Amino acid sequence: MPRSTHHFRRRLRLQLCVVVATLVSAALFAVDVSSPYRKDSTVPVHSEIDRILAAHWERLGLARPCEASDAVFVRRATLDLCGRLPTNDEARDYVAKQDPDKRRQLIERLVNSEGFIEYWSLHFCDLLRVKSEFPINLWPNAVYGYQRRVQHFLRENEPYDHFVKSLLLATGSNFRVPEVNFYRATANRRAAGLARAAALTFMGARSDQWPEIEQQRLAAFFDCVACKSTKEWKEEIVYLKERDTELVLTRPDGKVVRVPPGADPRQVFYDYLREDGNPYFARALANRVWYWLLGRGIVHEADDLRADNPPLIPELLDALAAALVTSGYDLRYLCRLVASSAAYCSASCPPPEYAQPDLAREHFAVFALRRLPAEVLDDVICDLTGVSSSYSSVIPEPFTYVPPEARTIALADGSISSSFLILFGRPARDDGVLAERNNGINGKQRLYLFNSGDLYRKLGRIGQRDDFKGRPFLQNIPALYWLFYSRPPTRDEYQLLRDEWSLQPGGKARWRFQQDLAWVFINTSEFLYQH
Amino acid sequence: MNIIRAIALLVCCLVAGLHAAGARKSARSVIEIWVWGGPSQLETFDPKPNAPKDYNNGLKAIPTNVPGIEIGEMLPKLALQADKYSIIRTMTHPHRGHETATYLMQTGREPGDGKVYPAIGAVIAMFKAKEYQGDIPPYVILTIPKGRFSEIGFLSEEYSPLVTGGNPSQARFIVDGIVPPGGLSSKELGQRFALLDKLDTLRQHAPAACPELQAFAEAGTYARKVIEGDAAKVFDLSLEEAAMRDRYGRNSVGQSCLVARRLVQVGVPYITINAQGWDSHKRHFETMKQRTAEMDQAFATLLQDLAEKDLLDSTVIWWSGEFGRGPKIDWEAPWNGGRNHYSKCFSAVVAGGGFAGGRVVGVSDEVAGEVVSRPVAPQDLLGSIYELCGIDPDGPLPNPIGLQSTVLPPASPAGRLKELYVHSEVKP
Repeated sequence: MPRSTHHFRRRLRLQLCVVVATLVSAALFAVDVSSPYRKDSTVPVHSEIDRILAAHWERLGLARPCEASDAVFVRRATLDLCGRLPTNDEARDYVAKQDPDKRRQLIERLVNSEGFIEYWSLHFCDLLRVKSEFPINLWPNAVYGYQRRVQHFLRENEPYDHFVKSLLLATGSNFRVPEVNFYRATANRRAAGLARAAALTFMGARSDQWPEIEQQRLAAFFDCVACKSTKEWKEEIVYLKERDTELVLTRPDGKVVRVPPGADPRQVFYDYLREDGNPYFARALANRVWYWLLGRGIVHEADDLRADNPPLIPELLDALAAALVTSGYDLRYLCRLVASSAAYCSASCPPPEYAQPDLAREHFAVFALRRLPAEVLDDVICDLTGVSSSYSSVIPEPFTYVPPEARTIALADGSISSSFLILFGRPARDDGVLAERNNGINGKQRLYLFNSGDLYRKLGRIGQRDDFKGRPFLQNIPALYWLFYSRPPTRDEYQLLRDEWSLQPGGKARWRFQQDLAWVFINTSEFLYQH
Repeated sequence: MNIIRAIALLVCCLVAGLHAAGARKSARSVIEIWVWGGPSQLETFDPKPNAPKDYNNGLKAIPTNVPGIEIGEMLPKLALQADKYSIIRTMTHPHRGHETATYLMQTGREPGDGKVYPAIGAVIAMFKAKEYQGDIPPYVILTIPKGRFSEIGFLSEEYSPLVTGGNPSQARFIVDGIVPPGGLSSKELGQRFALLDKLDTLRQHAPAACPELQAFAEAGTYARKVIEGDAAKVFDLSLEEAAMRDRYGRNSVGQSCLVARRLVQVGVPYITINAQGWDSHKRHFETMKQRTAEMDQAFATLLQDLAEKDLLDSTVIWWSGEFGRGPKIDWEAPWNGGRNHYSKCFSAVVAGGGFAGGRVVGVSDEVAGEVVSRPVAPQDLLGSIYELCGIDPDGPLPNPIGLQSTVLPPASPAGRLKELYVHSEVKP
């Protein structure tokens, strides 16, 4: 009798628990949709870009893509535009907001934030090979000047053509005129090397694959550029060699130009880039921006523009390039355009009945997964755990001190030693091709994430966050999901965790379980990938 | 037992057969002792006891166990192993900056042509990866990266080095990522993996054939195999006798050499020991005293231990920095008895894997400042190592960027170190 009473009480308690839990979960979760990653609706078609995409998909027989859920979108856009995860509040507010215009507002807020300047300067510093050490050898003070120049371009939203002009036509001291570092940041500082860098950076073209004669013609534009050292340690002056004869140069499009003595041949090259109908200049940037936001260029590889490597959707690249020119080479405008496109808001996890997901992924109708870039991953882990990574550079001297609160995406110098950043594919910045950055996954990375002492130490601090401290674990579960994934837990996830939690016998096990959970979250594909 | 004996006999016969033909099997592994910063040739393998004091600071040379060969007095233990290694006293190249010299010594290529070539470690890892097939990556660096340039150059990521981190001279050598950090049992780790499998919701919703997630899963399977299998034991120095750990010296270089030997035992093709602290611009002699003592014990024990375990013949060991140091001592402040970078003439050491021991290549002048005879260029040293590993330095270098290139540029006029090869021919 006492036994059955006891049994009954236990059952009652259990049932009560279930009722309470159900009530709690009803309050915590919105209506549980089939997938936390997509909406039931298909992507809207608003702009000319969208209409081009929609027509392209239709031609291929692809169904209109599903739209990514709000939670996915706020995470996606914040990662791509600012190189960080949305905060708990940012994510919740965005998901809860009913405003039909909220996506545009979000993008607007992000591209106008400091995070955009920091993160996109990382992209441009990769291209411009900002690095103090071999084989670029800019030296630290030049590195910092050069990066600040890039940040200035982004902060002021300086027209892109204006920025390019300042780099191409620069002369002066590497420490005092940061733009001249464009010419110093090349592994080969002869005319041929400078020409290759100019073609890659501003034309998105690999001139080393061009016929020999065309390479020589391009190099002739840069024959005039020379360097001399001064009495200041590692200072160099980039100057134009004196010339008293007329130069006859052939532009990449075959047009012959006469450059009188005293005129700067680099100006001729710049004028060629800026000319109406130049097939490279605006398209190279448009294609790169598309690549940075979508993970794959319309021309693939994204910095290999040439006649025999046609764009996947030619009208799309043309339209983006034209929009860039019309906007007055406004980079932020271009970012907004791409980030609000139907491709950028398509779901990465289409419904199971969606046909040909592989083809769709190739044609931007299914959003392709990308592992978080090295620097972003580091920042994200620091933000979540409250423990920052410290960087310093002991080579070359003088040693570089980096304040611990500085964000990793804002590290200026590609030479700063870091096993973590190397492991996760930070680009060497040796030649500035996009493929130098490796966002692929490998076994060594997963070993690190599974088993690194460095990461364990950081994860051990996650319970010390102000928003977690002193609260019962079950109450923290939704916050954990918002933090790591920018979404609430699904009902299944919440129940699973509640059950697992109830299995933990006591204080120590429960403490450990919280560590386990942070470890699990870091190791999920949902966390590690842009999706 | 009989079968094993029969196999052993058969192997012996085969090996003998190869020997008879003047050929040998290529070296299986390489240990590189990278003497980071540039070691002084005068205090190590090219002593000049008869030079003025401004050059040798009064230091003497000591005889070795090979008649006629003398080395610096700071290396008494290595003096007793000279029959196992050969000294190159006439390494020479034109670069006196760390980064350009490191690049040249590691790749055999002149810097400045716009491409970054892979270092020898990554190249050998690539060529040997197929026959190796172990769980530990084919290239391991103890314990920190060289950090001067990207060692994989344009090769694919899979040949990038595993950089151990950690400190092997501590009681427990924690190789970040491979050895679980303190306090987590394999059972607890198993529970974590189980929870992870249940909670990776995105994987349940993504299209089945998503290539990124397939790669993610494969990488995870590999990593779990390393963690849960026996691979990590190679870094567990508690499995060595305390006496053996003592023999190598209880310091980072010594214990790194011991780990390197253990890695060779499991067949890892390339191991770099990044020995720190040889960039002795200031107070050179005080620095050398400590560095050489540790290096002497570590390197000598490594040679002896490999020979005892019958691994010396299949393991190339090379010891070098990116350059040497200036012969004339800088007594002025702020150097206070320092030596600067110097690349015109410096020393390297090779041993094992088909390199003969007990020989000296090249003659330097009376202060070890100029090459008198038999210059050895970086690509000739590296080319010799490649040849002994069964890799043709003049053959194509496979690469993912479609570059037409040989493994190395052509040998210099003086040529590779054929005079040190035990056998005239190497079978890949």
